[in-house]
Amino acid sequence: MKAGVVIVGAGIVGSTIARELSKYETDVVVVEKETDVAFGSPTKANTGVIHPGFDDPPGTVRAEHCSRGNALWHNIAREVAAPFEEVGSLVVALKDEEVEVLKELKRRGDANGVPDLEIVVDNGKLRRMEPHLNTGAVAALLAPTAAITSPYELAIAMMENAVRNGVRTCFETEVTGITVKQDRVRGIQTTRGEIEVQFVINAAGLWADRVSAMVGPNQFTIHPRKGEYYILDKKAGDLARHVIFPAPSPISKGIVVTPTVEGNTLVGPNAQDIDDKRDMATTHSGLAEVWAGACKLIPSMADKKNMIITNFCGLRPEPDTKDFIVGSSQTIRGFINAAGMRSPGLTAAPSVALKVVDLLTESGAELRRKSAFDPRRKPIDKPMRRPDLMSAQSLIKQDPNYGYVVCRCEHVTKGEILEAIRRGATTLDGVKFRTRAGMGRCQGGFCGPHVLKLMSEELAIPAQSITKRGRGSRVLLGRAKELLSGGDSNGRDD
Amino acid sequence: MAEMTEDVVVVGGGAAGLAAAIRAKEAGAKRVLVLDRNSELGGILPQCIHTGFGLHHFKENLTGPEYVSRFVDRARALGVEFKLDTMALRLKPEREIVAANSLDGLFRIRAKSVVLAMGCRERTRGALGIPGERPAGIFTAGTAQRLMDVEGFMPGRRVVILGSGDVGLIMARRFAVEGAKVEAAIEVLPYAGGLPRNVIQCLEDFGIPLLLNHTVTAVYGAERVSGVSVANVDEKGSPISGTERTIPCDTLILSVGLIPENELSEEAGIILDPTTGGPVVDQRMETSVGGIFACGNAVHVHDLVDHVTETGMTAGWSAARFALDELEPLKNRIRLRPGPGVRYVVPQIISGDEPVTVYLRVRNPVRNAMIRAGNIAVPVRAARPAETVTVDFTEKRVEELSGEAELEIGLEEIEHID
Amino acid sequence: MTEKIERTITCIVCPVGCEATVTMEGGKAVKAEGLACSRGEEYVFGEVEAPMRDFFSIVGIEGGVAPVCPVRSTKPIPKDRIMDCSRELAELTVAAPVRIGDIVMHNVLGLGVDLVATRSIEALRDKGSE
Repeated sequence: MKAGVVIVGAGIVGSTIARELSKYETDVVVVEKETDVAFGSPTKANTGVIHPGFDDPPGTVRAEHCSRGNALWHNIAREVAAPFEEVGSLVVALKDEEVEVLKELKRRGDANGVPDLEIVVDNGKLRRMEPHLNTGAVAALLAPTAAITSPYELAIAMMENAVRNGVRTCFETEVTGITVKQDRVRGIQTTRGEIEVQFVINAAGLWADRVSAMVGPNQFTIHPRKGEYYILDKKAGDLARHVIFPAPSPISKGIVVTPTVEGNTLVGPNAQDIDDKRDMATTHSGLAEVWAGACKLIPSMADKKNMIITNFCGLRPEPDTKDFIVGSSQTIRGFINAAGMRSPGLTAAPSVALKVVDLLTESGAELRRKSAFDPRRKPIDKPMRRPDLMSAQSLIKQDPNYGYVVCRCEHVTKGEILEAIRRGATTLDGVKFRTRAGMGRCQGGFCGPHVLKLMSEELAIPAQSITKRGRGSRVLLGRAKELLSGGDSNGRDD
Repeated sequence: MAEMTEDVVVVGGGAAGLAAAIRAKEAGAKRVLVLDRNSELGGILPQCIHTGFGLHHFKENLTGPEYVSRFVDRARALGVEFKLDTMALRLKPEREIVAANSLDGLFRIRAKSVVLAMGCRERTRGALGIPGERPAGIFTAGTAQRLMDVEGFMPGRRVVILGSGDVGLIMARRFAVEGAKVEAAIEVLPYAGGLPRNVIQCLEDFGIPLLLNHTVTAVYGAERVSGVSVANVDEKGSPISGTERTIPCDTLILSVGLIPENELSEEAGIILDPTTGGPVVDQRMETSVGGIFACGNAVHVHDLVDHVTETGMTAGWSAARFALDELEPLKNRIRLRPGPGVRYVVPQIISGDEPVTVYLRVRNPVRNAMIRAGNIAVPVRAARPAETVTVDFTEKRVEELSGEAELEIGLEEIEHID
Repeated sequence: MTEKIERTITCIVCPVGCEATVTMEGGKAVKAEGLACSRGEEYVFGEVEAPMRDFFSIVGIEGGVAPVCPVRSTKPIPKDRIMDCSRELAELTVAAPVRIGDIVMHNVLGLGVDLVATRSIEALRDKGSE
């Protein structure tokens, strides 16, 4: 296989770079070791905030890209029809000493070009903005340009658009080596074969240091910092209208309470440094910490424990350099890092993508703009969730599958599930991320068996081979009777 | 959009809904329509392939599919209409329903009366907050039952069951009979949640250990479940540090609670009882919205389908009378409140001027007790939280209730019952 | 002298759930203590001598609209034959259509008990038509 550019990693950063590069006449291939877009932890388990850009010290790479990324997302999210809501954010000082922190953040924000920042001290105004906010709040930094999105939907939308514009994807493909000759990249080796290529973009998230080490002694290391979350039922109501932050700590923006684009409430993450990049377990103490942090900001949260739908955790890719690593390798031509992009990585992605284009050109890549780039993506139609339900009638007439509701908690129809499969979902989580089937209060209890059946029929594979998220995560362990009978083990397709 | 008018619309074609539809027809309603989201009628019963159904109603010992087939046949014979693969999406208090299916698309139904029979859903791992990884292989018991006994799959081969309620016990037996290894049933309380008969016939018969005073503290497995951590709990149900041990398994089955489905009820502004999770109903099974009735597990989670059938019959009869404009308002509305030792009572409102049967659940197991409501006393033997207690307010007892707007129904433990 | 064995059995005839201590001599139950009423004696005697159970499971279906059909025993079978019965059943596949009450397996394990279908399963019209 040959390519013009290989991007390692199909998370939000890799997908965004892919979409940007798909504007040029160059052959882009994305390789991803997981089974689908956004299956890696930093994108999948992400607060989904598009930050205004006041957190980052001016002069850092993060600061360089955050507020520019924020501005770019407004347009891009609309083009690819991904969820995006500018709800604004509040960093809340619960103690007088914390007000100084707010002032520092405002100073940074002003220096980084963040618009419309305001420190609100009027308690009445805070109360009107956030009726459930801790009445002991002393002041809050209001940032109107903060927005929320669904991080995996955004990454999927970007990659779909990239693929529409010619990008190729290789999933379950792990990079094992990079061929270098005369100090230039010549190719990459993967678990599925070699790709002849001269330009490699390292967007490998948690594993970016391992990929970078393939071209020479490492300039950075990535260590995982775990963050745990809770999601509350939509019925819990409007506990927060903005993204509500506490005053930040040296290592983390803190435990947040935020609405999601779907109307749920998301709470988290805490911050715990760990060693194992594969440790994806929530913990009793971590979850307790998250809950306590949330109740500090929103005291009425304490009565809503029975509204919790689920909990999960993610791992931030923390660079030891304490800043994003965006740049060409100093020693090897053609190797470009977009690494260590923990918060505000999602926000910064489109700005970093533009920078990557510059870096490629500087490295000798010939990038000619395509005349036929189509920036628009048509989203999967979700007829039962239209504000005007009745308008779905014509769609159902065209395709009756859109009239058959499969996921009753989130009102997801058969039409959407089939469309998700056609758009690349090969796992239960892939269908879930594209349609929300299984994300409601019954957590797939009702729709799970139906989705398995639909996938089996549509993909023409036995249901027993379907996985939750690829490889060994099979949902079913065979057909009934196999454990009893001697022969007939046609379900044993390990 | 297509519009239909019906006399009685029943949301849910399981045991409760079918009984309601049948009774509505028998009580004179002309057009009775049942909506169900599945491709076949019966609700949960087609997947309950074990016996124990119909001991009261038919005086026979039937399996779930056998029990429900009788109602399906009768409903068909009476001319009840059905729409399957149909989801009821909206309910207005004016008894207007919006529903959808592939055939009709989105359609509106104006009904003279509505019976809500949506059943219940299962509590999830997420709601329980069990920490750990998120591997494949975690199922609620009902979902595992569907996958096995309707779809014909083995959801797992080496199983741990969390929760010793009847559904969990029944699935323990199903897994064992199909050749899987059930490592243990884990129960947080000091006693089993389900009936003693099921503890014996589902666990003891198969040598499956029942770990009382235990809970699952974590789930392991990067892709598929590889094990669970279990620990002893104290009197408050909190894990005791240092008692954790890992049980290797590939499947965790959750049987940790059932929740009445009431999205539609809430949408219509129907008042719910926070303890049952279902609508407040009177003895006619009418909700707080006139002309909307409810029955079965949507009202409260039953343990006997025979009782579900009874509530369905009451609701269906009432809905038909309402549709025919012949349902007289109740003479009084006496609100029954759960007193000491009683978790909840259904129906919550009785008229006090005619015999009525109420169902209640006790908070803790009791050997001998007196149920007291006002100056009425009814003895009860061996009551458990898992088994609803039936209290008949007979002619004589009902006379003793006079004019109170609220009546507490409580329990007093006594030494002996004569 | 035949050996006397004592076994404890929980009676399940009524919700009280009396714990009975049953004395057995030579494999036969001779005395039960701890029962509050007489109905329990028949049950606990039977339970210690020859415990019986309803058997129910699923059988594979060929050419039907569903892949399996639930079945039950027409009468209880000995408790210790449940797994044998399940293994017998696993060797069988039944062709659709099946009607509720159809005998799926006659005189299973020679116990004088049949296994019958507890529901009907229609045959698929043509393969590939929806």
